[in-house]
Amino acid sequence: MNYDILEDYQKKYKITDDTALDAEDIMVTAQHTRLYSYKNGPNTVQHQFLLPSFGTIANTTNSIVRDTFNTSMGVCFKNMKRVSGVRYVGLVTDVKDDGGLAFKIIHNDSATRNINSNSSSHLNSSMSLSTELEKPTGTSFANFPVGDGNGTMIYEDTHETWDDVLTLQNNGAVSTNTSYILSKQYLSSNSASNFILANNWQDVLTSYSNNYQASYIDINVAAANGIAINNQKIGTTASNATNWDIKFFAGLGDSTATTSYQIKTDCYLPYKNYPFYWCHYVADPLEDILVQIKEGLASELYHGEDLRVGYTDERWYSYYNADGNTYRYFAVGETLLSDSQYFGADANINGRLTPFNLVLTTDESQAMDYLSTGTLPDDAFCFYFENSADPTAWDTQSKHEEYKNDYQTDDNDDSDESERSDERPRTTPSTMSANAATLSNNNYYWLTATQFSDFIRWFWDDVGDMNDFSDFINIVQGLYENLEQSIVGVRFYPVSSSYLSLSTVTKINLSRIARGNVSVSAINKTVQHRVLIGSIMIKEKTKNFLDYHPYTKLSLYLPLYGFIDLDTNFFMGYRLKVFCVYNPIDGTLQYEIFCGDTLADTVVADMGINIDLSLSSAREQNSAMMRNITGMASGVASLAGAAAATAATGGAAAPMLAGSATSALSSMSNMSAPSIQKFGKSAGNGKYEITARCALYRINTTYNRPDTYGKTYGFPCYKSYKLSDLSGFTRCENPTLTFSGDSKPLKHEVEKLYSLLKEGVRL
Amino acid sequence: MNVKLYKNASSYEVVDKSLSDEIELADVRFKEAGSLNVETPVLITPNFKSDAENIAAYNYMYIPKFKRYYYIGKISYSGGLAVIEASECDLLMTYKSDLKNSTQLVLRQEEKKNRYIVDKNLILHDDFEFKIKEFGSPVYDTSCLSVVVETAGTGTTVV
Repeated sequence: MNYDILEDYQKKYKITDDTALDAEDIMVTAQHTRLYSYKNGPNTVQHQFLLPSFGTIANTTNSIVRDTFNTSMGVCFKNMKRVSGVRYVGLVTDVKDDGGLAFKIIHNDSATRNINSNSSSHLNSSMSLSTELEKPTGTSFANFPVGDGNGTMIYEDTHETWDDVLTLQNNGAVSTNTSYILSKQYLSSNSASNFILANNWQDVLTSYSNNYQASYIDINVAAANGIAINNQKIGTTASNATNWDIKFFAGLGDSTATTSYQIKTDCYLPYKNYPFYWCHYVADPLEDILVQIKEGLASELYHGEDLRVGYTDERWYSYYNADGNTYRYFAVGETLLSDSQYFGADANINGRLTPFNLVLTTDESQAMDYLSTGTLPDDAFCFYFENSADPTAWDTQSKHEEYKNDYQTDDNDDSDESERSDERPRTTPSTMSANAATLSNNNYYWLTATQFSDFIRWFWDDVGDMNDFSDFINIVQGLYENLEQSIVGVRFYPVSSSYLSLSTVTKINLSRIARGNVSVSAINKTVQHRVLIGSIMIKEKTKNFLDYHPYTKLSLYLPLYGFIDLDTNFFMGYRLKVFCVYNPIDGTLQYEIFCGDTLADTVVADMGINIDLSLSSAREQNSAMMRNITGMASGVASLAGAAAATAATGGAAAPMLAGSATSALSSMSNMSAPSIQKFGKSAGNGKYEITARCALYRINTTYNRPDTYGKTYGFPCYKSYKLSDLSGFTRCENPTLTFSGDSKPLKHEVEKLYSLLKEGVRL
Repeated sequence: MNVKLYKNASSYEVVDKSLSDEIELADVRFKEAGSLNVETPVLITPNFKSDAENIAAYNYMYIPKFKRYYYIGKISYSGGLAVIEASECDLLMTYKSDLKNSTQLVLRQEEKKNRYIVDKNLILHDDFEFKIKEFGSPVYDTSCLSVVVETAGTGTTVV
């Protein structure tokens, strides 16, 4: 156990026993490789370290955990499992030389989840996971619960590794139809009628619609279209599924074939309303994956942004790309459970897994090139270990490569990067208990297209109809008059609900009446989510003054806002983080630009597109538009199962408020990030035409420095030295000499000596 | 007096010269008796033939009497004597120990360097290098057809 590393980390990040870490810290932690943990509380066993990502511990007296698990970043380690879940924390028990670590999971709920017989009420040790993903020895692991939702432990006793799975298969422990994935349910209830087979993803979706659930999914990407589930999908009925966990292995290729390779990612996905849940993920380092690919087929490549495991609102992406069309890309470890009826996870499980040392690209040719030559793809997306080369750093091949490394190869370099002693306070965002929204009696609802369609239909077609006596009374009381004026605003705000703070309500207030019998989301007026939307390390390239202002310039492109210039000197060597604070109430999006943990800038972008439909003067005019939108929403609803095909009919985004709303939405859903040359200030209805991702622009000064430069001019030094300690070309400032020997120089000779030292001598 | 002759292969600005093929001449006199020009002395010696057939190949000398090193500017022969004219005293070599023992503020140095000091001698190019890198997750999701509806009122009557 390298405690020094952990101690250093603790000092570096000023982690104290009272420090609550959030997901951002996890990210930072992960980026700093092994240093993901810190010393446990004083009353527990010394030299144990918490893994700061695993949810809430009820009793935090002796432990350090973050309060909630509600942001988007997860943590993962090379060759590590991630175990997360409410009331679990990890204790680091060993650090491997290869960057992995072993840790124990501790658990605090002895009443219902007593993992270990000798556990106490809190912080009971339960299991150990080795970095090599070996099945831990001893009995503790067998007691690791995966849960069944009914308070009964189901003990996972096998297939912790891929080999385990295959071994079980070979031993006949599972059906031959289950080539990769084991189903505990299957093992205990081996009834073929409970399972279906699917030949492709659409079949799986169909199985969902037929109330069959694919519990364990075997993927053979080598099949047609790259994502076909060529082998077996095992499902069961929805009723059975309610007692299930899901285990998901994503595999590349057929394990039985000679060109097999697997990206092993397993995760337990809990059921909706599941009281406790666990997820653990396994991801091999990319280098291993690429090696495997290199030996076999190389046609299955990976889309970087999709290489995440975790909950993303209603989109449990599986092994197809986010746009739903491009099947050639393989999203590792995300599962698409479009029908969240049975599989929707609790929103708390927002954690995403980002495997390290994975190089991801969307360009097949460049990926092939990477495999053969090691040239990093232009769009490479990579997370890396601190102690390994970051292939995405800015030090890719220079046009002036022959001069680039002059500084870097200097062992005698006297400049000390550690001398940078910035003092940068950590910025802790605060929230207000009241704001303009809370002081008004306005209500804010976040409606899906279908819900909005339903609302519009009700508003225009149903409300005010005299169906019964109560309607008569309402009409007499004038409740239905000028209702349109009660709709203060309607705006298109295309963001996932996971980025918002919502609560479910059963009515939509409108003046003195309310549309009842609905289940929609109301927007919290005070809580605004801060989402770490992206981060990027800004590294020195030439490792000299040219990396700084004015020789290097940095600009940050923020979608829907435009460009902001970054202070190069401030950001260099730090991680740039972009947080988004979504404010659907006023339709804005606030960017918070962090340099490390310090707030550097904030800007506000207009995100929503206002839809004018509330003014009475525009009632007639807007009627058609609203009905268009209604139709639009209906159209979208009908697109739910086959969005890709319909989306292709889209055109420009402009017709959002006029013309065919269906086509307008189609174009929205069909949008994709254009080439980077199209970046620019975005505004109006067309603003979503531009890429939705942040981008860092960097302009580096190039230079020409021949090999003899140091001998000819010397390098800037500006430090006092005894000349006997130096060799080579040396120039001195205002030299002074004392002469100790019998032979003294003449006055003009002394001046000449000074002149020579100023001009440069060779020692 | 004796004088040592050398072959110097080092350039002018080198402090510690690289000297070779040392020979020592005896019975060396200053050309003009009584003259002690320490800056550019002129020496004569009758023994060059026996001491060194080829003193013309030497370009550097040390005069112990002065404790100075000199560049030889000219060697000529007259009346069986060799005349050695010093062109300049090598101050760097002569006072090298004083130089090396001194501590100076070093502005530029061949090996000791501070990379973060602006080097105005460096030749910069006009062809800047541009790099653009997208990162992070999409800020918005155009496939998410969500609408925010803002209404006023308390909705006391549910219809």
